[in-house]
Amino acid sequence: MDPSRSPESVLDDLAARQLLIVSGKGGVGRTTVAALLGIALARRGRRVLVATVGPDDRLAWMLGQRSLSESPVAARPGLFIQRVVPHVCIREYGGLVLHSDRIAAAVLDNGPMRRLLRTIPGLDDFAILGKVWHEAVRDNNVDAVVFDGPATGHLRYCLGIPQAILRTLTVGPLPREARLMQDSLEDPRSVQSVLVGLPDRWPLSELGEMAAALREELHVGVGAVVVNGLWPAGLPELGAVDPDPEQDPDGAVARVFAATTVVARQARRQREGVTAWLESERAAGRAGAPVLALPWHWQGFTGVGDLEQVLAGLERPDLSAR
Amino acid sequence: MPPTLSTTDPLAFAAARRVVLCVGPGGVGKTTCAAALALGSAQRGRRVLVVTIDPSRRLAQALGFTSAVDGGRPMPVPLPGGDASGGSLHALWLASEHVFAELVQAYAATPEAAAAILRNPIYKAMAENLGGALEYAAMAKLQLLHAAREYDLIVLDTPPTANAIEFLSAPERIHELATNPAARLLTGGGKLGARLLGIGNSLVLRTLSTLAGGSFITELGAFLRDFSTVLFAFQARAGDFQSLLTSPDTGVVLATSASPFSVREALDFLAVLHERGLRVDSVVLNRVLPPFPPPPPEPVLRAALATRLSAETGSNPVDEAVLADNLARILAAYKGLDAQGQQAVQARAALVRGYPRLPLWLLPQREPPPTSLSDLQDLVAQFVRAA
Repeated sequence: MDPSRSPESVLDDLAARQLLIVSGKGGVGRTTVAALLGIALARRGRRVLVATVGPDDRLAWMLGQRSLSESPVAARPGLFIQRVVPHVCIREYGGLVLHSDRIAAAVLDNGPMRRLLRTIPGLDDFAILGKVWHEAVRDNNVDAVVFDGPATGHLRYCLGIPQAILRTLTVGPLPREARLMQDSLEDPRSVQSVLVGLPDRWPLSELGEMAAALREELHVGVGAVVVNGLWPAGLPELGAVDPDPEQDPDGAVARVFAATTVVARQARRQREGVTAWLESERAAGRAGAPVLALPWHWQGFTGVGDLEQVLAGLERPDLSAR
Repeated sequence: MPPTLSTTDPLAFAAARRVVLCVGPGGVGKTTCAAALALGSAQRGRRVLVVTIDPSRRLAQALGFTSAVDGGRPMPVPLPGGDASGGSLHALWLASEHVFAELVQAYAATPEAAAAILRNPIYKAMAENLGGALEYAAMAKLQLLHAAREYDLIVLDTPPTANAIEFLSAPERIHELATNPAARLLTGGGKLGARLLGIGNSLVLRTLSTLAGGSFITELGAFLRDFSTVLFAFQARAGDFQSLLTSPDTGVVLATSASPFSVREALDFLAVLHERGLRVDSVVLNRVLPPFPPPPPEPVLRAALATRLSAETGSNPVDEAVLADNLARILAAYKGLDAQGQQAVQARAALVRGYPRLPLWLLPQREPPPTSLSDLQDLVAQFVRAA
């Protein structure tokens, strides 16, 4: 992992790709990072679609919109957001291949057929991957797609589907499509993954191993590792103090000092964890992916302003204690 | 026996259950709650199995796993403080390929049929590589374990919310495989299938062949036929999964963090659980910080900080810029902590408003998070009943 590059140059690099696949464990802020990348790319003049599989509309809420739709909606100039739904993707693909939306809808929207398609394991994931790949690589509606994708536990399955199809089938349209998708996935100029983790040593180590597996098994590049939620650096560790009965009769000062110390220690522990992880990555010979750090945003995300504030505070992991 | 309603003991409810599902949004500490619940119940003399899906490295280590390769069978976990209570703890790391192989070997019509399924490339792709299989596998494994009665209590850590709903609907999907007219069309019951679909047989097959290739559709049909035979035999033997989920043997613990997104997800999920007739035993609001009273007036804080910093640095008076910088950082951090505390207050209010009769437990934030068995044991003492 390479923490030495400036955030701006890392984002410039990511902005040159067609498809960015954002992943990480549950609850680490995948959607936040996808929305941030969307804003960063749009600012660089790219027409960008952020596509999510998330179960709720938080991507829309973060960008100041009410809800997500199954077709792209402009959240701001050059930035579109959309929910990708497997069944809709399958029907759209059907229309494309059959050259008839009507026939595709007649067959694929048929009730029992819909339910049958849901029972075929892997089809949903393949449909979604196919859809974001199509929008990013084959179609010209947008310059780039940021895919707020599955959690890491599911990512290898999902990105492994084209390979699984190629191993299983030799003739017909499916392996043809899978071949094209696999070629894009393996082309670092076209597709990069962005992995998100919390600032803690062992979860980051798991993420580092995931990055290695993506490169080695699936041949997918890792464009950046984002360490999300670093607590503020530079706080004094004041330690516990007894309330001064004259100056601080109700203990308010002592309370603030104690709380400050909690935050300062946690911030220090986080930075130590990130440093230890980076050292172990270096020792394991896994240099490479740039690392970005996002500050802890305790206000939550309720609009573009919040995201822009975080984007402005994006840093190279500042690992000094102060 | 109805669950014990205790206001001081967060584990009391589990004494009346044989299965507890731990559900909730991603990253809220579900697996940790599941492990703590399992450990605590084992220490009360029950034979407990905790089934986890994708545990964090450290928790896996605490439970004695080195990798998912161990995941085929339950591993014994030594209880801290010994097993004088007569209880025991095992942990199982669920891997879908193991479960499917077990099902196929046990329920295929003949050993030859089992071997044929296991060799089928579509089966291999499904069991080893494709998503969605984990939910089927978790459901099937739970049923097998429950039927085997080797454990008094099985605690199942489910995948995050979106997939947990998939998990709950897995039995419907299996049923679908065997009864769906479209499936029958693919598996050779052509005419009847097409009539039930209400669209032309040839149109369906032509469309699917164009989309996916004729030979693939034939292979898929054969696979669905063989595999649904296995699943059906299993289901006939194991009984209805839905009735296991809604049985009084089964309880649910929902974990959530105080983040507004997680709480929204948790409330939606509670609605689904109730709709499906599951018994929710408790809600755990995890990683809670208390709200903080307002800070003292700035001059008071400034004076105290100046005294403290000058004692530390030996410079008197402290540089004005340094003092101002520190003061600003301290106030921002304090405000941040308070915001977290307020979030927890709101989360708690929203949960109580939505489900006033549901037991709600708060679990304070711990830094660093619990990772060892003794940490998990300590965790049980930290639950605070909030409603």
